Amino acid sequence: MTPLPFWSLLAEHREAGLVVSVLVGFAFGFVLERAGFGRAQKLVGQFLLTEMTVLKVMFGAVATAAVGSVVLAGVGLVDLRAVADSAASATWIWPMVVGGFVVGLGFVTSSYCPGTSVVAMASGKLDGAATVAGVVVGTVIGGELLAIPAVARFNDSGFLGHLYLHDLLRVPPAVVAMAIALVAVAAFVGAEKLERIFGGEQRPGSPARPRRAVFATLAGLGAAGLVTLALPRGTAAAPAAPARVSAAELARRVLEEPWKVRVLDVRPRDACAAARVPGAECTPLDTLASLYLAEVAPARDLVVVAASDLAALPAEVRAYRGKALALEGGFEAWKAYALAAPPPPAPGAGAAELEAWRLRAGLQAALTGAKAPPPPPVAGAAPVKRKAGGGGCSG
Amino acid sequence: MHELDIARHSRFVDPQLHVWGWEIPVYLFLGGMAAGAMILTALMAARPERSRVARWLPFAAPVLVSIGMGALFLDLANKLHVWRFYLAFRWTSPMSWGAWILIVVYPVTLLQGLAALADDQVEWLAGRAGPLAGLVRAGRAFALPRERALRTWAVGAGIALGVYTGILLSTLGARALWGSALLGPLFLVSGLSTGAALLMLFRVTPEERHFLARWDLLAIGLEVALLALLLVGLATGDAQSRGAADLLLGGRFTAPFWALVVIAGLAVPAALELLETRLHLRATWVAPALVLAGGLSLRWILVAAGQL
Repeated sequence: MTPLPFWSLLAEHREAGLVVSVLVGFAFGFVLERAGFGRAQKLVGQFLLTEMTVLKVMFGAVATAAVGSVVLAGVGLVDLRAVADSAASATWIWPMVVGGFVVGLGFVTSSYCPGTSVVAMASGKLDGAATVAGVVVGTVIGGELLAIPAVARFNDSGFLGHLYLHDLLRVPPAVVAMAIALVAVAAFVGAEKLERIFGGEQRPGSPARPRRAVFATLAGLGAAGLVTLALPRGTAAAPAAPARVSAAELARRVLEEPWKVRVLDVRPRDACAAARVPGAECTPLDTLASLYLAEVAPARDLVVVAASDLAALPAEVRAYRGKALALEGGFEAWKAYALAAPPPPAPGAGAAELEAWRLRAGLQAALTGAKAPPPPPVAGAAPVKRKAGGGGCSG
Repeated sequence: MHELDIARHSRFVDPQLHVWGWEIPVYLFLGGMAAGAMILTALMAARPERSRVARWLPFAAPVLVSIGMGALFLDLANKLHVWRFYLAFRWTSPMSWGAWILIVVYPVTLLQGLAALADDQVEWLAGRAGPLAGLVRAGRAFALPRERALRTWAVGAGIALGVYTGILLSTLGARALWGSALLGPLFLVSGLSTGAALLMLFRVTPEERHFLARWDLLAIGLEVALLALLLVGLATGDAQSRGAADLLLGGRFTAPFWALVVIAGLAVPAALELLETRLHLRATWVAPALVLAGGLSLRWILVAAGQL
């Protein structure tokens, strides 16, 4: 667990996550606008090599984020992989190659990319608004095209999972970040040379003093990231026995917060199809590999339901980066808890006991279709006295 | 799922708490915006120089009030009995106050608008008014010598209308979220801010826009202070009030409230309007549009959260 639990913004702190994303969105738009990305001329200048602001700003942002996140991860403040997995999509190589060309075509035609078109629209530019409309229409058409089986097949082809340069090159992330920072500095210097060649001699270069400060900060942070490689770090030992969740607790969770839990039923498909925990997916052991549990976002807790108690979680489930639990006693325990009529509480039972019974009886009624017995009378409540005589209608 | 068996949340068992739908927040939004527009156009009319567009703006309030009353009418259970509001005045009932305030708004804004127009604009209007041309000219003749008094009346009626939209909620004291006397002033300043934002969407001159932006900034500042007081008051109150505060501080309305009202509706437009003046940026519709969205969200969230 890191001090900045990034994933919690998608799960238990989702409300805070939404607020944070709105804040970040406005800040991002503001920075883009101030960098001049709301002006088509500036963006087109990038393709004509007369105005390299886009390259400089974007490369600067990439290098800052790269060295910043490896330093934070290096000192143990964030989980780099969790941040990277949520910030970057997994790789589907062929659709991404095609999609890259389509976006590039749109970029050259409108001179905006989706983000900068929103910025341009917000600064009152009609061409920006037209581009935003185009993005919306294109997204809808793209979504509708997925209904064609051939397109859907292509859309899912070439899946490679999450690919990172540091995994491919087998070096620590900090080395890659340092290299990116150096390339960014070189690109910055090279871009200004290109600007002078294509944009004319009179183009003013960027002021020297802030430029030196930026370069020094990038180099310093990159070096700090490398230094963190030397820090000692704890080894995460896999627990011997899986963490367990009781049938009662699971029932409460699938009813009250189903968005925080994902239930995988690993019994044979027939047994699972006959009866299972509400919302459970029927995933026999041999199909677990196709769920890519190591790749999916660890936002929800996994609960594995086997026929009886599990001695150890399957390897595919252990690869999951979030919390993985086993149902205590397996499906037998669930059957005994949720599918059998609970014994009525003893007279004079406390409020908590009554509430537990009510939940269990309701669950059994809902899952089996059996009629729930009437709730037991609350101890100590005075019997309702009927008025003598009554009105004509009460009989 | 047999929810009746498990949670007992059923309209057949428990009394229904959610009785106000989209009509009420929309009406409160339009009413507040009309109040703000009335106050600000009356203040603008007192300025020596006015653009031709600004002279038309007093007529925004009656249009907004009419649309808002249309929404309110849709909410009435016995629509044919609406005239009964005007057979009596009950000074203890905010709805009775509101019904009469809404009636006062029309003559005041229309006459003030006629007084604010230039002569050729009045002729243009009379030319298009058909059989009402005589009425337009008579109204203008009546309003011109009383322009000053009409402006005062417009500011007064605007304040009454703005405060009333908040009091309408706060008299329902059993709802902890609405049971605060701060809702009246809160809705008034929010109405002032949305009214300024609405007027900024028209092609007023840069000076007039600057005038409106200054009022908007003042209103936003007051609104932030009142919202903070409201939340502090609720969070330090009894269990019910704390429950109401929790809806906005961690509960299910947290994200919409902070994202739409506080960030998008108050902080960002205030920052944009400040930057517009400081950096001499071109004025856009973004800040006013955000203020309007924030004002509608505020009322929508308060009305919805108060009915849980």
